[in-house]
Amino acid sequence: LDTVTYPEASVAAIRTHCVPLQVNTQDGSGAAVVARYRQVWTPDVRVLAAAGFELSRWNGYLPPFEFVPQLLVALGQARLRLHDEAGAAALYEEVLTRFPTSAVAPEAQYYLGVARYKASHEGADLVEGWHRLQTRYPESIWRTKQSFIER
Amino acid sequence: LDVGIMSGKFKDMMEHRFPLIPGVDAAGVVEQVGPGVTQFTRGEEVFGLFFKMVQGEGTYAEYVVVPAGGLVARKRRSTDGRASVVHGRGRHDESTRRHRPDPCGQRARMGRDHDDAMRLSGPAAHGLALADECENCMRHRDRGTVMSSTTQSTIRWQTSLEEALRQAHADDTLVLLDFFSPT
Repeated sequence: LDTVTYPEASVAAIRTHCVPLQVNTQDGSGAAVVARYRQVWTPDVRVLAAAGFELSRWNGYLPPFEFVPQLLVALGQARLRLHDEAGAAALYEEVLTRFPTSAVAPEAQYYLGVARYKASHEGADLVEGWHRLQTRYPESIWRTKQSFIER
Repeated sequence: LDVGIMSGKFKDMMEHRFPLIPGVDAAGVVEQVGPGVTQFTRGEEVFGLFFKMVQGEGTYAEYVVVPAGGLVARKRRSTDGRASVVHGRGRHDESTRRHRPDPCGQRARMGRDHDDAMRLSGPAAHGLALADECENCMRHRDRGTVMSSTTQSTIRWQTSLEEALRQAHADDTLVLLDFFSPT
């Protein structure tokens, strides 16, 4: 990530969304943080609330064009868990607009429906968002996860 | 080829103009045609290959303007009702070849239902609009995947969890924690 992904300006823009923190898992300087978050394998990226608890995470290297949408989805998940549905929806919409072919776009589509439903309590918002999974990402696991409404 | 370009494999083999939109292949539905383009009509399903030696204005965008000469109609009904593939290369007169300042603003406004393109060929499809043969007419409404030529990280990493949490609390934001192993 340090060599390929983080140098890209589009990735460096993460500083507008969060406070970036790097912890070295090898030299002992981050031992307390590694233990606190039960870190096992790198790359390991977490999104934390300001209180320190973990809101979302993912493992593994991603090139820039997948890292940014993954980050936006992770931040969306964090916002959703903080009951900031509007903030979450905006992040998911950004994924679907800027990165509609990314690996996490179906997940963004799934949770966009959830975020809108949680804000409006209108079932139509959820169904509409999920219906788009059927048309845009029919092979996605996220389409499968809502397939019970297709019966 | 697209995968190679996006992974940086061809970075030293061809010019890259940043911010860079990758993408060579495209498929979608015609939204509008430019003057002189007679072989396609709005709503037609098309696909094509748009390779350029200078990388930067690719097809990984929701809406793009492409030369009509590179397109092929996906299916077109013949008069007897049978489906057939029709090659998209057609005539283009002098008025379509000549470049004029910002012609796309007048001749190829873009916009369409993205779902149609997705149904056509899966999540990699994009909406298409047609311009004339002038390469300079290529315009992109949606930036899609954008990469930058910046080679040095501008991320100011915090190294103290306590300091990062304190700053996040003050800014009412979140912390992105990256565990890394130096190579």
